[in-house]
Amino acid sequence: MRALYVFALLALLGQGTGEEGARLLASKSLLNRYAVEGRDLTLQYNIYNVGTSAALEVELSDDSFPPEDFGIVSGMLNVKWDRIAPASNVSHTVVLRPLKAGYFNFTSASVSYLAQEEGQVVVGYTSAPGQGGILAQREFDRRFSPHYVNHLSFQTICMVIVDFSQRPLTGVPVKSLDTPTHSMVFLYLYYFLHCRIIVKTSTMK
Amino acid sequence: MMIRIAAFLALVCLCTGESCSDPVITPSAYTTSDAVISSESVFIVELSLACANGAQSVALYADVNGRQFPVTRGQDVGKYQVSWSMPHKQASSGTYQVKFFDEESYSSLRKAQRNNEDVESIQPLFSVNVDHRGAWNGPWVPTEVMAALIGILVYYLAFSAKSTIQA
Repeated sequence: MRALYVFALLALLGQGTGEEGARLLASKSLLNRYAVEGRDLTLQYNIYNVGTSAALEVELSDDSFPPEDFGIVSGMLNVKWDRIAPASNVSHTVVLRPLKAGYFNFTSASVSYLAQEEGQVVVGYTSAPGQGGILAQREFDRRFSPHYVNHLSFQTICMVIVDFSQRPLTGVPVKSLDTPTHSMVFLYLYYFLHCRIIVKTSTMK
Repeated sequence: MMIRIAAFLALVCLCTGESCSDPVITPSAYTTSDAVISSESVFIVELSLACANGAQSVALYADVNGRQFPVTRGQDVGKYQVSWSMPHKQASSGTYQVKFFDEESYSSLRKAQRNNEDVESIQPLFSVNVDHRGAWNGPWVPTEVMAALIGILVYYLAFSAKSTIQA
């Protein structure tokens, strides 16, 4: 009878210690509004310990970026922490540079840790941002660069058309501002066409 | 007797962790420079640490402007990285000082914080200064607006010149 009680107590204790230990949740996210070829791509990994004891020998390793498609600007893709305290989190950032445009599937990184001292190694995965498009440099520039040269050259052309010189008044009124190419209708039309060209080329695939 | 001494020494070595004397660091820093593409400003400090006493797995803790985090270790011996992020508005340009503490000085730092003592008096193992130039948000006035305004101005000048000539 007493053996039964002892056995039951041990079983309960075993159940209790089974739930203790560290538990890590990891997320991987892109801190970019746009992913552009040749510009920085920022990745952030957050690891939260929601368990009751510290996680030991935590290793984060991300092999999902082939070196020929992504260059590393700053940060390391394989890192480790000695311990992550319970109810705390750590964050890790890496900056990459995409070398090719197109679609890319951002998959999970893997996290391995010891839930308890002398315990087994637990392997988990971070969340995955999913499929994203990496814009080509030209497309991004068409939409977002200031187009200084375009605007400057257009304004120069307009200035050339408009004639500011004050000619002496003769019997014949000066016609330079009334010919078809110098009327305000033409100027409006010209500006409208120019803007249309910029918009059309920026939405072209 | 000898066995007891050896066991005691072994225990001491395990408990204290490794400390670093005369650290030599090679740091490199990265900060976000383009706020149009990135949604948050990110700071990364990578460094290689070499200790005079050959200590290899030194545990480091970093403190930046009152925020503390453990320092990530790379796969290679002696490579460490600290990274933090904040929204663009809060990431003002200037110099950020990152102080690195080892186990001992970190625990005395935490103790000083708990007791509200002077935190500045705890000496870090070493510190790194990060220069943030500020992230570029795009031109203040978009160029299309500027071009439209200049266009309107030119039209007005031309119209008034025409009126003057024809008047």
